[in-house]
Amino acid sequence: MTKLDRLLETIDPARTLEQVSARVDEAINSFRVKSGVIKEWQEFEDLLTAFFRHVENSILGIRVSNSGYAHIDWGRCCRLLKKEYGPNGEKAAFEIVRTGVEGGLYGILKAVAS
Amino acid sequence: MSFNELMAELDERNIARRVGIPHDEARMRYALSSNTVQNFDEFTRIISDYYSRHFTACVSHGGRLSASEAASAAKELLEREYRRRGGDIVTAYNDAHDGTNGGMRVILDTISEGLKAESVERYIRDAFDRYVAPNLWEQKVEIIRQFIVQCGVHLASSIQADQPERYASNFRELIMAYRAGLQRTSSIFRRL
Repeated sequence: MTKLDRLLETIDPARTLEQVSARVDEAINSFRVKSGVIKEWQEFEDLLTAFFRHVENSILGIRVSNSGYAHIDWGRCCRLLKKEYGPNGEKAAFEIVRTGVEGGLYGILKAVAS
Repeated sequence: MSFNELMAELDERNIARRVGIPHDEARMRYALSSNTVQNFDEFTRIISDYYSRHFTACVSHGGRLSASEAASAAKELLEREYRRRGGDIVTAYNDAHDGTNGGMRVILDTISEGLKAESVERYIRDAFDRYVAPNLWEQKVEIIRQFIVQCGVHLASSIQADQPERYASNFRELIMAYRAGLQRTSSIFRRL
């Protein structure tokens, strides 16, 4: 196998996708939550931000706990929620977490991770 | 016996609060140290342990299943779910071994969702039986009569409003179909 073959194998999109997917699964497995229901908006925002950072750090293989700018990470998280749950995605997600319908908090975490 | 009270029992938020959330919490509490397994024995050990813990926490509320009982029940559930997707227990094991399609995480999610769906089904059956006795024809007619009074206006062209008896034996299907429609509409409203 030549150097070029090895390089091409290393950057093979299918392989990269598999690795990222495996890291996302590991991230979901290792994230702990205290309760399946959240009633307060701030608690919801903090938890989603922490989860977003946890998954991103796992994908990138970074050990730091946060970027220091929670509002920026929350904004990025909101973009994902809007993509998944419509123009008011963060509000729809909060309602799902608050009431536990449509898979509740765990469903939201899986949607953000995917 | 009131149609509105039955609908309140069957409300998706009520079912989530009483049934769904405890199942989701049981799933979230279970930590997986690895998303893959080395062999079928390890696969069996993990699904058995998870099934037993989840079942104990949400269904039996105490006591533990024997290891063989839990292993068999978990495999039956996985076999059933994977057959729906065109696979079987070996497909589930291969995913767990290779980490594909979500690996062990999705295997446990499947067990969790299966147990939750069974609990929701039992809850709904119990609610129906408490409001409409399965052996009393008059109660079936009465619930349909109330259903038509409250909701029939939107279905005027398809309902014989003066003949509730005609629909009484299918009261469950009709009410569940109505409930499913409400649920879908609520879901759309939440996203706007």
